[in-house]
Amino acid sequence: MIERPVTIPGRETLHAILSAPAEPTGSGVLLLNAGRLHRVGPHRLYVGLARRLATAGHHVLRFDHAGVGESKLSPAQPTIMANFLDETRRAADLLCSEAGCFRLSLIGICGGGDTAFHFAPRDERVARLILVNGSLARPGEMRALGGSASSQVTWRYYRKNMLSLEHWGRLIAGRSNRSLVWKTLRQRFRQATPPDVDSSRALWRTLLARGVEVHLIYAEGSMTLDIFDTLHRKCALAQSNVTLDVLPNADHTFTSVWSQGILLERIMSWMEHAPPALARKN
Amino acid sequence: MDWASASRLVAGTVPHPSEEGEALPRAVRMQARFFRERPALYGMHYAPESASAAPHAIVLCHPLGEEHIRSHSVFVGLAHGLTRAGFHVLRFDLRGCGDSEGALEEATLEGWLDDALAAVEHVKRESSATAVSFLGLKLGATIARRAAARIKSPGLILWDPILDGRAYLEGLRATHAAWLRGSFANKQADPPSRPSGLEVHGFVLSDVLQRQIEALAAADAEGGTVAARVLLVATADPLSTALAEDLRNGGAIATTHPIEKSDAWLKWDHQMDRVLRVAAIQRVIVGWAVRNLA
Repeated sequence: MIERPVTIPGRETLHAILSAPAEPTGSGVLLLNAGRLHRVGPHRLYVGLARRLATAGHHVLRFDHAGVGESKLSPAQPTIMANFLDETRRAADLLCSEAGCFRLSLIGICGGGDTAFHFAPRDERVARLILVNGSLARPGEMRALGGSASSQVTWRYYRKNMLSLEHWGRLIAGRSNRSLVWKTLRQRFRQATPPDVDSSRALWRTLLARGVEVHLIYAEGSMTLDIFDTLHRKCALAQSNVTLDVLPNADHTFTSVWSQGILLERIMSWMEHAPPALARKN
Repeated sequence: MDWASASRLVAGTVPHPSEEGEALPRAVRMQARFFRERPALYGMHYAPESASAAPHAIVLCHPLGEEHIRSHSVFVGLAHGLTRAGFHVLRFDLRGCGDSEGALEEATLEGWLDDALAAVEHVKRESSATAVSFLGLKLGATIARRAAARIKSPGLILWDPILDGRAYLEGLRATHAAWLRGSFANKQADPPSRPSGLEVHGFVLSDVLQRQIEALAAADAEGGTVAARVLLVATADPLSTALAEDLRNGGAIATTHPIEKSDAWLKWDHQMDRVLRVAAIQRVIVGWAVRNLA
């Protein structure tokens, strides 16, 4: 495996690291920025993942979107997501030419999952998606659902700790955030905004029609799981090309080292066993 | 100021530091390379578009683990600010960190000092610089200080250096434990894998590195002159006063800039505050470099 820095040309140069395998299989993997974190990912997870994937024969490109990490901000499109989609296409062009591949896998944590999800229906080269803690929401949906999802995950945390004497002790002693407790309880019984089911169904059907295999991974402690439940669960899991994996006790950025290990194992295992992304050029 | 504008302020639009109002900014050329082998280190060299007769380079040394990730955009902003002021800058990743080879678990202070010295050779080759100064944040300041002493640097910028290693590690342990108490991870009674060493904020520090950090103190210099000119950006307390005194006794012209005590590199709370405070510190650093090193 050899790594080298590469630049992705365009209106503003994007900076990236290409991990090239010693024995290439013709497979290309793009790792997409997790929110505002630069291309090493949360807790440097993308570095370890890229090296493992490259050792397994994949060309891997992890790059910084404009305005993230080393890539200078230069908004060419009217929205952040439109910029991200344009930049992902440019990164995919570079990766395909470097790896000699026509089909790609996209992997993203948090915002990277969202970018991958919205990019996949627009580009026929995408064959596989691994979306980790992606909200998969559009900006309007995020605003509408963010508050209730945050309360849902807090509620789930309370339920898990219901039998903990230490937690009850903290509540009684006034060392807990009581206003958060009441806010969570109030929100819990409030009606959430109904999702746009038709639009969700159309998205997932497009991915199925394109033959895109999708693996969803959620940490139990991430509120994106609740947003996914509200917006997409029913439509997504009705499709034969979608699998879901929920990692108990993990938090949104996989802070615990054991959870990082499990995440990497699950990704590597799925990449090994999912239908290959090496189909001939369409 | 909204969040996006504030981020831009830190990430790439540091106002020109000169208090005398020099005409700037200069354009910046960027060149990324892996340098040295086993472990290969990732470095981004920032060069000013207009060449100077006697180029001066500044090597940036990043802090540890999560602090490194959260200060990355700040270092990118600093690199641009210093380069626009006429310096060559090398922003690089120590072994086991960022894009460089290796795992953090294998890192030691000696290894990182070697890396910083390799960074000096690299930036000299890239820039033909005749003088190399250092800037370091937190544990990066420790590396910068030792490397500067080794090559007799003309300049050294210590930003929030670790002046009490034991207290620093205790702080990391405490904030990690506080996070864990309020996290789903506290229910994982029997993790499938348990790293040897200290787990803090998503990274593992080896026992060796912990012992080395615990031993850090204000009087950590290898003796003698650390650098000709030093900027100390630190909380105003007896330890930083002692360090400033130590630096002056070693022959350095030391300037101090007091900052508030903060664990901003580990928390996302009060983000706007952090961005504005950091932007102000960046201006102080670049301004000092222009007045003292250019």
